[in-house]
Amino acid sequence: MANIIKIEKILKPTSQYPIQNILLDTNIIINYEDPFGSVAPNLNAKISQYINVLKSHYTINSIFVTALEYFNYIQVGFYNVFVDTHEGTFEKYSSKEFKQLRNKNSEFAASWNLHLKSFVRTFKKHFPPFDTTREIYSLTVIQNFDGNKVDFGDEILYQYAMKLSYPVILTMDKDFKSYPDELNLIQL
Amino acid sequence: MYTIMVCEYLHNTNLLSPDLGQKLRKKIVTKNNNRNKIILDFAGYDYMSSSFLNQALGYILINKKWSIREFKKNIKWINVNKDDKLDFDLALENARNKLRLIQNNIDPEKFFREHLPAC
Repeated sequence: MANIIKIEKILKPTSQYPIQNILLDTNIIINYEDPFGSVAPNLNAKISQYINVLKSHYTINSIFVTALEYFNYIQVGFYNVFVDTHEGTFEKYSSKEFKQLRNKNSEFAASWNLHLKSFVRTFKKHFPPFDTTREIYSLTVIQNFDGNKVDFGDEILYQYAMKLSYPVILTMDKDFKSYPDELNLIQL
Repeated sequence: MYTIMVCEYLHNTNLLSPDLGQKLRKKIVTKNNNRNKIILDFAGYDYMSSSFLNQALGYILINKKWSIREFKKNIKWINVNKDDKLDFDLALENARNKLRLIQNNIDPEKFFREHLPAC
């Protein structure tokens, strides 16, 4: 089972953990950015506070797969929220409909543009992807992937974390506990 | 025109907690009810969270049933980092969506649970 570290421990000035980089899971970024104003206010405030303190001690990164998962979250979420709040009908996300609305509905396009700018800022400034030159997407990762314990995005995040001198992930996803104890999880 | 020095008023440069947002909102509403236009001066702040902005500004738009244009006619902000300006627009946009839901008798929390992908 992965090693759990309480966040308060690594924030102590006497912290003995040799952490350099901390990788963030998608759920942390969603709860921090709160792109639709839907996150419980106290959770958003707590995560914002921790992230700001962690940033002053360590380098915090995402990975490209996390950016992809986050983009999917805002794209599908934005479409669902817009269509239902503006047109009063709940249509399940469709990429074809999304493109049509983006091209024909100026209000949709303007609102989506705000989310896009926010997306770029999130991964350019707040949580830049870790070591973009490293290539870990080998076929071995796919062949050895056990889809019954974690999803594929989690597996890639784990693979990246294991490349760190001190492998550590900040997440709220309990699935990561199924990894061996070489992996460290920061618990909120 | 009435200017609120946000950090001085809240005695805090970390604008993260929803409680601070609520406190600022009450001040804004009190002053705006006298038909004053409000200027929020954020000089000196370090951090700002989405929940702070939703509580401070978003709920004004919702409670007053304003459009974003009406909101911006009444309330302006200065001394905000270029990067953070986007968060103000998103907070208003999200508040407008919540207002639409409320006006259609839909509970926003339930709506988001059902409409946003699992994370």
